[in-house]
Amino acid sequence: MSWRDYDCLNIPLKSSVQMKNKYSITSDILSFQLCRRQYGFFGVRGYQPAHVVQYWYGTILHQVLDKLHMHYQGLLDESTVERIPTDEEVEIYFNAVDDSLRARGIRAINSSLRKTAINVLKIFNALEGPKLYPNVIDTECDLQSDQGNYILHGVVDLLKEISMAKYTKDYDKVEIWDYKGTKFPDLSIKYGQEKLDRYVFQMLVYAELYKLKNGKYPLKGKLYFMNELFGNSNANETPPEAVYVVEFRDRDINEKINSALNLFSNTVTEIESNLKYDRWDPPEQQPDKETCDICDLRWNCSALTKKYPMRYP
Amino acid sequence: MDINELIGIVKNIQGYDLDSQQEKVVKHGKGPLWVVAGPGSGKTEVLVLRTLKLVFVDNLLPSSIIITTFTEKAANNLFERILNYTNLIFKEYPELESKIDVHGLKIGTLHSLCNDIMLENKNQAYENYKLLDELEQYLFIFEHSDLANERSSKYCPLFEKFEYLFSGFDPVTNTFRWNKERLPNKWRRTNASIKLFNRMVENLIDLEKLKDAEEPYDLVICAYNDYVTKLEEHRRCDFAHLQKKFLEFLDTPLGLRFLNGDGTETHPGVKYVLVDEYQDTNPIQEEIYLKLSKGTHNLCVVGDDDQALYRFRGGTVDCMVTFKQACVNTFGIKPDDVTVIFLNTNYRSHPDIVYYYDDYIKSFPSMRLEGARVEYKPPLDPKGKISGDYPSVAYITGKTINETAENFAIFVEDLIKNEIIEKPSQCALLMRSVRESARNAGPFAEALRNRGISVYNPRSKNFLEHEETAGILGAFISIIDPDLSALESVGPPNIKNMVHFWINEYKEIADKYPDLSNYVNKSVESISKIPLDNWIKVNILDIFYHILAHEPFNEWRDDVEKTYRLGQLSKIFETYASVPYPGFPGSDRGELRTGKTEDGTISFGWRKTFYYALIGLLVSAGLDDPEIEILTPPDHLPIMTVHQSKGLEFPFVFVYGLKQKPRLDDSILLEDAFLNFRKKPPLVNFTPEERAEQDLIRFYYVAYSRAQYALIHLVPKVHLSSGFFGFIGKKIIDFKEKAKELGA
Ligand code: SF4
Repeated sequence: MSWRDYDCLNIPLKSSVQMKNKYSITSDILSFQLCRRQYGFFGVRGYQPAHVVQYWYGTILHQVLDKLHMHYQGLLDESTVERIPTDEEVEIYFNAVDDSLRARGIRAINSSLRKTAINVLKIFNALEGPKLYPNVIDTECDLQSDQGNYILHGVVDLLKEISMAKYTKDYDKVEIWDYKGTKFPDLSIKYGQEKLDRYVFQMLVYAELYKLKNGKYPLKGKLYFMNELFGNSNANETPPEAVYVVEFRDRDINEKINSALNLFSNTVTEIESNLKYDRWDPPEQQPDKETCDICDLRWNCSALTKKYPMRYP
Repeated sequence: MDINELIGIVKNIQGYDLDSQQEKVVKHGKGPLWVVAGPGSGKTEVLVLRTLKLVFVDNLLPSSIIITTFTEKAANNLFERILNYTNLIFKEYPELESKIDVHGLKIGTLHSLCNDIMLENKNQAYENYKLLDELEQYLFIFEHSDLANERSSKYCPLFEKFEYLFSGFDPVTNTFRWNKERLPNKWRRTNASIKLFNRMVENLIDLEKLKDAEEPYDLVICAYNDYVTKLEEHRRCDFAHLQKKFLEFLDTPLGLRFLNGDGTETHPGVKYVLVDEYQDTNPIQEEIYLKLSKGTHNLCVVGDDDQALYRFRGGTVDCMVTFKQACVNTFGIKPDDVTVIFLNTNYRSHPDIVYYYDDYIKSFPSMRLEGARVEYKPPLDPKGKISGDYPSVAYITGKTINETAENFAIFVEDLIKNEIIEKPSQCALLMRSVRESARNAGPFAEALRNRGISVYNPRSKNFLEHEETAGILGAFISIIDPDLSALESVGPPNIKNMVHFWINEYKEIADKYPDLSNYVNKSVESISKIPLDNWIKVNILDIFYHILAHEPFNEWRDDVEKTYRLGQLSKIFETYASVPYPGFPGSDRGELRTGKTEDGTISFGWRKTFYYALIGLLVSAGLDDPEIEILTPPDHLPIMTVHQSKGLEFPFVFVYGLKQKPRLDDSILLEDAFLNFRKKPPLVNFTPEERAEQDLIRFYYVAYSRAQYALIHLVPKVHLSSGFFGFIGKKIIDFKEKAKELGA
């Protein structure tokens, strides 16, 4: 028998090395927390959603805002350096971005949404631009950190220098910004509070990632709820609901950040145990209606307390 | 940290020293570095350590270093290793932790880096483009490109000149030839256009030179320009043009800031470029690498010319072979300024296997021609841990392919039973085609399964023939084309057959699941009530998800294997929806409309195009991706193509299909057709026949060098004769002398 030729061998099985997974704060951790089943299907198994809901709005806000910063820095055209864009210029940038998105098939759902976006951007530019643009350190900063068994990854929309800040030995004179294409959450309902808590956790983790990269915490985090600006054309002050500030200079900051990181780690552990068997059961409790309303699994999902009626073409 | 400290740390971790050649690569300072690394020579490790040296010893900002590899998986693996070392270094030097962030390293495939860098640097010429993957490019060309659609005889001279792209067996229509009355069909023209356009960009074809060329090159330019105009109009970009855009970006102010830096940490410039698998580089990629390092000359390429496999992707092993000359020409330096290091120590295979494949590649006269291999290449030197007196190179035979397969399966079974190996996954069967047909993987897979050995062959069954994919497609078509009136108008029988198969599959399921058939029937009824020329409320993916909500799909979507395929199918639907209608940028064909003349049906044109474009593509098996990354489950024996085995190693490697002769395939002919029109004339010249032969020899070389303990050929008796390229020097005597026959 020919195997006998090889009888001198006894080849052990090499244990395959497990690669560390990389988790994005928004598209993995926050999504999973929202609904594990939705995350499993669209984030892991590769199902494609039927409608790219909300994508246009968030994208156009971020991309135009970025253009406005570049305008001020003279990166698009040197002659505009240190000049706040005019309303017309905001519109020109808006149209350019909108055109390019449209050519890719990404459109505003209706013209009123388009109007909202222009309106909000113009107000933001006039209201915040003069204070903000000169102090922008960087936009869309990639931050990562190795958490031992996984890598945490996040993108901060903007870093702003706060030169006026008082002496701060342990902090960088920096504010981290995150734009939200929504209104301030409605805290009168449970879900609104949970949403805000999640955003705050997100900022705390950004602060930690920032520190890992730069050595110190930033002073503050600012959540900017863009839609609070809508219709406020004459405002000469930021409407109070538009911003929510997370102070990092806080005696309990380490504790707070730790608990945010712990929560994230627990989520990662959960994700990984689901990944292992590729099991993504419906959540025990139905998430908020907004989440299910846009979910392609809603036509048959056992988590739902009230069924969605089947639709026919 | 100084270099010896770093090397000391590595030694502590690994428990062994680098060999002197490896150490030279790690320590190398400035200037071009050409690392010719044989199989199993530890090149990835060396690349990792060289990167660490740049970061920890030379104190370069990680974000100023670019490292490219051939696949995303390889890139992840590389980064993972860097990260592991980094964490260990931080343990000994905690003060470094806040100063150094290796996440800044730019590691990835060249494609992904081009994309990321242009987006990060806000390159206007690339903003909001949709990057087309292979399927999307196919659908886009099918519908938009003039070359695929022109109905007059305009392009006949081009069809003639590139005959090999436009003739040959066509799986959609079962036809071979075309003539002036019957032009090549659209599927064939689409496939040909893809190859033509990609090649022109990848090989850096100079359109000015083409203009001056004789007929039909003017038509080539015309067809190409048409394609590019349409891409721009719809803001689409394919993978080849992604690289072209990147090359152009490097000349813009933003590109120059990226390249040279502006003194800030945000834009540190590009200080070092390291390239893995350089033998599969194509000319446009070579140009990108040279341009990225033109200011610094700090370009390090690592590869093995003998393992080049990707000519069909535009790769020309020439870039690897002529690296020195390219540096001399581009950087204006002397040949001696390019450091050459050979990593020729092999740590992977049993010495006899190493000698075998080293002898194998040298046994062919065509490999000894000047320019076929890197000059002065030393022989491989086996220094691995594996040794022992047993037939490490052998063959199993049988009267027929079936008997050979049977003997092979018995052998594997014995290996496991007698605890020579623990699991079937310690073996791999490599072959050219892994389709489970009688002349390919079929008999081998069957013989193994008969003995209770599970086989992992992810490409074995057409993905659209499984019950869940076929069933959902059948249900979908039953909704949009209930009387199959549009299908009847479709010419090619293969499309019809496929669709009928799906419908039958659906009907069988529907019989058992009345809720499902109820949904389908109600949908048909609902459409029938919609007036002429009206939009329908739901798009094609909505319909997909509604079907999926019904049993048995609802249950299937939580089955590990089935759900994977269903997810893929949703991607195909999404892709199809995203291809705009010609002339209407931003349009979405996922939205359905009723017909203009016939009541209560989906637009006839829509249905017909759906069959022609999408199903036609699926039938022509355009989805067979040779690159599928393999993660073999431990209890399975993988059957894979040689391309899939790239970069892997297995204790027992079995190779079937030695009886081959070189084929002048279209990638070789296409390369030849454009040879004189390159922006940079090629530095080596071979005839197409020579290239075909060299490619085939390299193909076997890659297969053979995957083996650690034993390399075993599977050769039916009828294949055992001289003249075929799987045998050393094409000689059966030499083969039999080196490879031991394993008796039954
Ligand atoms: S319908 Fe709601 S609960 Fe069910 S998967 Fe979707 S988001 Fe989750």
